[in-house]
Amino acid sequence: MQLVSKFIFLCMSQFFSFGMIYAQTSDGFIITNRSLTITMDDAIDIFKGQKQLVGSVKVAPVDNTSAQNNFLSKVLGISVAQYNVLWSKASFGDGLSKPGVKNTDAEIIEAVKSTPGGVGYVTTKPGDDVKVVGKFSENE
Amino acid sequence: MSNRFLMIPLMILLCLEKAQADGNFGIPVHGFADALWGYSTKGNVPREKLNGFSLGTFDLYLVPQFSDRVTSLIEIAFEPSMDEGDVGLDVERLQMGYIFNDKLTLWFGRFHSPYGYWNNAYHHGAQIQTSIAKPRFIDWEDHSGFMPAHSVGIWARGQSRIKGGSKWTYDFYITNGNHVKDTTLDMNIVRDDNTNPALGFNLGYGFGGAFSGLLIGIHGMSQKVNTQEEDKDNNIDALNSDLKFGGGYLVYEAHNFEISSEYYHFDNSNLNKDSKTKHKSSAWFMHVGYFLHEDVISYVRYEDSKLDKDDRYFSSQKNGNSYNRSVLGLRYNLNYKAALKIEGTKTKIKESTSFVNKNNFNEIRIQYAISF
Repeated sequence: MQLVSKFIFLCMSQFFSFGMIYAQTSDGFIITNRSLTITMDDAIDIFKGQKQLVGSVKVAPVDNTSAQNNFLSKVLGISVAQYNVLWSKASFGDGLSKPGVKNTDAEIIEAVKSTPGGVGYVTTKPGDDVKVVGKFSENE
Repeated sequence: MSNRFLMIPLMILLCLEKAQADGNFGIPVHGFADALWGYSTKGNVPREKLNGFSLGTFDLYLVPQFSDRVTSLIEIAFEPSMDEGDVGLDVERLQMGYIFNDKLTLWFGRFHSPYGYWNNAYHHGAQIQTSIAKPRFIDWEDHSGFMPAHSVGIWARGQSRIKGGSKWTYDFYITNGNHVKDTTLDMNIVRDDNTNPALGFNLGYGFGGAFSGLLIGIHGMSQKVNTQEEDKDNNIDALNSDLKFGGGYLVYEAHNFEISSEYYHFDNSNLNKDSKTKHKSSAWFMHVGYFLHEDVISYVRYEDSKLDKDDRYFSSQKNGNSYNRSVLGLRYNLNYKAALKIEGTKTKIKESTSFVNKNNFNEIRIQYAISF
């Protein structure tokens, strides 16, 4: 009986630990309009309000509410609250407009695809409509 | 109290309401507002002493973009006067810019003088500023400051990323020189009253990597300030001073800390008809905040100024006195658009001037500040 319960416990713990690992490996992709060429450092600057132009193209970053927490903590290294404060200061001090906001990957891809300076991030690998600049995940 | 304080914002809000109802959102209006309660012990610095409830500044700003490169920033502020209790309407900033690239944006118009960090980063943004009061000497000219916080002229600003996420930042500006009007520094909004414009710079270095969040910089300004207007009828000659200051600043925002410090060394001269006399002074502050929780920050600040009282740049201003101040406060963010703060200050006016006597006073203030 003891052996059976040990076995059940082992199975359950393996199941839950696998579940946790699986949950931690959700990926994210930073994407741009196909006409735009930027690096990961550029993407960080763009979402911090420190880069406005790539060549002669004005950048147009868009936040994705479904992936924002992960993107901010893994790529920018800040929380949502800190991000909001950062943009309040950038808007008031430098006259910048906060990134637009979309709720789903499909909306982000559509916005990035249709705007020459579009930059965004999504949770699933996008098609060829947009360019993937970099990848981020919980395990990075 | 003037009805303008209520009528103008009300009209703006009604227009916005109408625009939204029509489905035309136009240019977003942002702003700040705050209300205060305060108690001060005895003292004779009326501009600063607050007893009872008070309206703070109601500030509105817009950032219309006219093309990818043509930009602007328009800010108006409704400020209750500490002297008269009336509400003044100020075109706080009206700056038109052209973005050449990330390394150069050229602004033209009226802007916040870009010395140090605090003056340009927070200014009327009560909700984004951690503390209730600004460091006293960099407060606005008509409150308790003696620095030229506002400017009219041309301003070049930019930044350049270097290896490892570090970056250089810079500001260069040429503006109308200031003059002292009714014991308060005035920026000469319409014309320069002498042929000597103000020249200033601010060079910063933002660290990347392990020191990310750290910004250090140097700054300086030079200008001729008219401290007394000529009055031919009463045989009074104009008096001028050379204002020259240089110094440095440090900002650190990481690992739950929020630290900022600014230092100013003044090497001013009284310009007489045939001679000039030199006067050295200094002012500085250090502010240290620590996040006890994501939404709660405690902070302390110490400020000190040692001003030569024979320096006409300071002695002609009501606020030009040596002082020190200790500040202790606590801030709670209800969310990222609203904050409740409580702050205690202990101020010592070190020397008597023509406008205030040597004295000490303590204050406690509570502020509710919002942004939108």
